[in-house]
Amino acid sequence: MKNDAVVVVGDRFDDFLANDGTISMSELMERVHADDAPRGLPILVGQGLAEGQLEALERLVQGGRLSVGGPLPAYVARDLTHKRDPKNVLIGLPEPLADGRFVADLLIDGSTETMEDHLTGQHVPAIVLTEAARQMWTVVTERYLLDHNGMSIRFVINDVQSAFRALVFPLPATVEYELIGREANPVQQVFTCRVTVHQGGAVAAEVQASYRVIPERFSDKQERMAAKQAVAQHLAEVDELATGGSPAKAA
Amino acid sequence: MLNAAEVQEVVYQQIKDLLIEDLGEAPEITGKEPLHKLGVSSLMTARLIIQLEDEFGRDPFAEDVLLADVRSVDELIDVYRRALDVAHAA
Repeated sequence: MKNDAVVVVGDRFDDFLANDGTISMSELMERVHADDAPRGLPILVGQGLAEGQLEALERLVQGGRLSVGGPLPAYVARDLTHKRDPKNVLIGLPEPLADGRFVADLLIDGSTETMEDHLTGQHVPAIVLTEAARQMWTVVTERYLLDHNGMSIRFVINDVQSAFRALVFPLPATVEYELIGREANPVQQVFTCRVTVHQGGAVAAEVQASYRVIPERFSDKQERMAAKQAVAQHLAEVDELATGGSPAKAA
Repeated sequence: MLNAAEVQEVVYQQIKDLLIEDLGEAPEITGKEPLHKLGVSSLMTARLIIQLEDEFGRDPFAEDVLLADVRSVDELIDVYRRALDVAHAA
């Protein structure tokens, strides 16, 4: 089969890299440095590349040593996803579409936490897509939907329902956020959304979620009181059992 | 130091203000009702306690009181009365 392009994929997806039309990041870099890059054949960016690897590709493109089949993707700023380690960011910067919808690139670092110790076969694990959906609603809400004037906030999930309709492979993919509903009261805002993962022109995964956004000082106070109550209740139950009584009922 | 009636008035008013902000109106408070029966959720209770700490300068729930031990608005008022008495005596 003749290909019009080649997809560069992170080495972590070694089973997938057996497919014609793919090249691992390490092999691509070796060939570039040996002046043996696939010339005239545009590079498409698949999954598994770290932020530094995308930057390396960008430098090669700017230096005229590599041609790509479109703009190179870039990871969204780490702090917007509420992650601490850049390797755990799973999306690009969401862009507004219309009617409360936003779209971002799905971008998976091969060493991301949810894939580090779990990869079966050639596809992207569903749990990675679930976390990508969480990052999508977090970034969209904080960047586009809230006006909290720098006040510290917390996200709390009410419920999540996921459906995985097709395997997602380490090829280019997008994540789309659709705002379904929004309610507010004096202590929180409640959002309902649908996040879909698109690949090959089809919806491969769908995550519907309801989540609350709470000022941190309210959430922190509530959590402290609940934790204190949980410890007291647990110790009371242990004490009851030790003295031969029935466990204390939850207050 | 605030007397018992003043503590009650502050607690009632804070609860009413919270409910008006949420629902546009506040039901009559007799003092016998549990907070959740008035429509005060656990998160709203957290905000109420923050606001009462601003008013009284004390948070009994950060000390030795458990929220589960408070079964009515009157018991909440008693918690603050005792906390203010202890603070005054110290």
